[in-house]
Amino acid sequence: MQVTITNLSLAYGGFTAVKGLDLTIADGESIVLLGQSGCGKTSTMRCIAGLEEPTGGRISIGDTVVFDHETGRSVPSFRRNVGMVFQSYAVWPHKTVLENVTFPLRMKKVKRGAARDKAMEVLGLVGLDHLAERGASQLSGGQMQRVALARSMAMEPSVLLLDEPLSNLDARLREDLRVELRHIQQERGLTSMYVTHDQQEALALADRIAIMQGGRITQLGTPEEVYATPASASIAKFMGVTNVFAVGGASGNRVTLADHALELLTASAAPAGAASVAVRPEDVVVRGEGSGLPGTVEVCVYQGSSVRYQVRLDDGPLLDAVCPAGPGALARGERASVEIAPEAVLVLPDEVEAAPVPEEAAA
Amino acid sequence: MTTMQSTRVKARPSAPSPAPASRRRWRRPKGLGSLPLLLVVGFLILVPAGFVLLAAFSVDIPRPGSINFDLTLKHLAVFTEPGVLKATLNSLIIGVSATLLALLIGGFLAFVTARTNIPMRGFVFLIGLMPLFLPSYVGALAWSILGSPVAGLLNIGMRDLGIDFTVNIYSMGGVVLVMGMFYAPYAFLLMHSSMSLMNPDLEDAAGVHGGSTWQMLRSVTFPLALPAILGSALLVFTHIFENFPVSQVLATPGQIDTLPTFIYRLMNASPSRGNEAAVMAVVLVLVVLLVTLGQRRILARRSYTTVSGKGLKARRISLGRWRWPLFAVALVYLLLSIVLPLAALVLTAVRTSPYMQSFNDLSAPGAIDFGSFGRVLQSDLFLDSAGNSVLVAVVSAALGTVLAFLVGYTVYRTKAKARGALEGVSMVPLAIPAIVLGMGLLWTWLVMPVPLYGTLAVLMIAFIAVQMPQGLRGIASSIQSTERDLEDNAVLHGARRSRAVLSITVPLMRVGIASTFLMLLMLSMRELTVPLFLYTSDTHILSITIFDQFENGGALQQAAAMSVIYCLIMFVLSYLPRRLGSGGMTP
Repeated sequence: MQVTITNLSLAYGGFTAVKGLDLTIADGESIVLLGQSGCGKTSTMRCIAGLEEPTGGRISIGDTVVFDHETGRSVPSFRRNVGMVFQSYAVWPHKTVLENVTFPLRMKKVKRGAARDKAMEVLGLVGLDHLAERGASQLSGGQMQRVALARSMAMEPSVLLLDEPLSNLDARLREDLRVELRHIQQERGLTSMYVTHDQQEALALADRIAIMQGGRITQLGTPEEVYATPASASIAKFMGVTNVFAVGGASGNRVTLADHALELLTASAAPAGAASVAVRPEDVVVRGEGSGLPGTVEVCVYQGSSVRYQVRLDDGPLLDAVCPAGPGALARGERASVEIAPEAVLVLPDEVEAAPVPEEAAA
Repeated sequence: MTTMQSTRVKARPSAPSPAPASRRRWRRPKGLGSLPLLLVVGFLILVPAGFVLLAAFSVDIPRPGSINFDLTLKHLAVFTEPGVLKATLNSLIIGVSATLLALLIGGFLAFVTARTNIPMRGFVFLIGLMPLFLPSYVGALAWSILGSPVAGLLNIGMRDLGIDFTVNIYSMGGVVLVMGMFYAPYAFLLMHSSMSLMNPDLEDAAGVHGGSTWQMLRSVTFPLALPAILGSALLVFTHIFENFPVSQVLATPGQIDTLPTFIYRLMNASPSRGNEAAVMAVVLVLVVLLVTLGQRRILARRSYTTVSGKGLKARRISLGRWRWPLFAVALVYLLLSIVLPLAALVLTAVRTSPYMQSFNDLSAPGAIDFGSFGRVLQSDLFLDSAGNSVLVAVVSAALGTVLAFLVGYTVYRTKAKARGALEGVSMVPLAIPAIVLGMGLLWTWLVMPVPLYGTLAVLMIAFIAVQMPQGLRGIASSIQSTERDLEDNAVLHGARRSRAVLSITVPLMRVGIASTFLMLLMLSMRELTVPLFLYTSDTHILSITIFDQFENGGALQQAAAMSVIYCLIMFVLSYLPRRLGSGGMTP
């Protein structure tokens, strides 16, 4: 079901966790809230679930207003029909797997037999039907995560919330479950909101990514948009762009770095107010010799399919580069020639400006 | 602090030694010292227990110069004695009902302080703890002043008000009430930590998945707290079941026998019927042992209190209009367990006439005299007993802490062969009721060729033996939370192992050691049952003096004044470990 959040605010004491946030999740869409810890993403999610009482704004799920600060309406958590997968899974250790999954159905007054059938079906979907009678405290992390997911799906939630559900798992399992999660979400057409600080996870799971910084959404777009054109230097850094430099001056298609005597070509004229340039390591081409910028390889890390270099430019900064592995790889201390295509140079403001509030705009 | 200490050791390497030697030293200590340690602990604890067992099945009790090994089963005839079945039944009834009452009180207070928005939460938490400051027998004595059917202050008050109702504390109900109230703090502490450590996500998940607050409490919160509830139930039950002083003060006047009072009467009969007492003691031990084993099994099962990665913020339930009524319930408990008993003691201490018909008598000139506190403070009896108490408590707590440290270090830090046995023997007193251990210690030190019986030293030895489990637990938790790498590091940098222990481990554990010492001090100050068999007229200690004076009825006023002063001392002693941080208030 469509979820509409309007001007949502949440403050604890003196600290404002969420500041006037607007967001609409379309029916069947998967939105990922991506941001560093403390940016307000989990708080936003807990407001939708009804686990936090917002200090302002309005939330509606489908046609139902579940929270409205104006009218004081606040539907309690257990009547919102929202599913949630917790970071700690929150699988009840004193119940069996089946009891965990039937809980939301029993709460909806579904008959025992029907609840059992439904629960077994959902458990089959996550591949745990053979463990239905197992005590939940005997499960591994990955299994608990699946139980938590099954429990939330069994209730056929209007919206499914996932709070960093994969962060406690090891890397390999995380990647498998990421694919599985996306598969289930798309197949079932689940409206979902996913919170994470891992940009790989966000890219994999989102129909749209909402970048959150300081309690606000600073960029909202498809994974391709957010990856290709980050809205600010800090978002670029967060998306894994390690080469970010302050801009000293710009004229036409040329920008000069502030701290180094280095000039870079850009594809189009630098916009006014540009404060940083960002270059993705994958877009930096390193060769043994050529007509590019001269430098020396300082660090070389073999990563299997690729090689990661740190190259100290003769008249400039240390650059990160990721190049395909293969013949012609450079060793530490070797001279190198570095090329950066103008299209790869992103000219960005440091931060996204706060959305102008009408009163301020008038002043 | 930590780094400072380790650098200090680094900076002062010991004299250079040949490489092979230092390699040998680096190895974890073998703990050859564990054998003498096992002998000491075994002698302190197992010998008294063994004497009780021997006395139960031999022709005569152990006497100086003649330990009797002629075995017989004739003392089992004590089971046919008319009162035995009744006493056992009474003990069971009191144990079960008082445990339920303690759980009800403790559970209620734990729930409202840990999980609700009850007003003045900190104060309510304190209400849950406060009865710990009052030794249970002082509570019982105070309640006998309040609720004796003829002269009880409550009954006088009700007669004054024209209410036709008599409280009789000398009854099963009275014993259950007092035991339940004074053991409630143990249940409270255990349940409070379980409820406040619960991962709030588990409850939030119930809310999100369609459970109302009540359904959440019923299907998640209480089932998760169940191991703690059961564990504290069994703990409290053993304490109540073996409790002697409360039964002696409240049940005996009402012609109600319990197992401990029955044993005490057999011991004090003339001629003493020690063998039969020993038989009953074995029965008592068996029951307590069974329950203790049950408790261990329950607590050893996987505990559900999971700590999540995020900051724990246990959810507080809003009580709505029940906030103040529930607060009032907590106040009633405070009134019954602390305020009324203390008021009764103070009133009795300052009343000049021991007889009182009505509260109006107090308004007569000269009816109240606070001078009694001063006179008691100057009396030889008080000064002697207090001096003895302090001396015995300080020495036994200090030696007990040292012994517990040695045992704890051997058990948790070395690979000594005897460490399992050492830990097991040290924990034995948990399963042996104080009254039984008291008998055993009496016979042990009467028989020993060293003339310790009748001196303060025998009391010290008894306290060290009885409190070994508590001491070891306090030290163990501290030792386990101190990283052993820090000590090993000092050895790597050239310190001898003993030197490393003294300059690294001991300073790091100073809070744990200090609070263990204070806890043992407090336990020694309040122990009554064990010294009851061991004291002589020259070795009075405070707890005994108070008990004696009440029992003999002669000096009620003095005894009440002493009790008040005694409670003040206990309060200070209980307060200090909390201030020091990781206080071990659990018994």
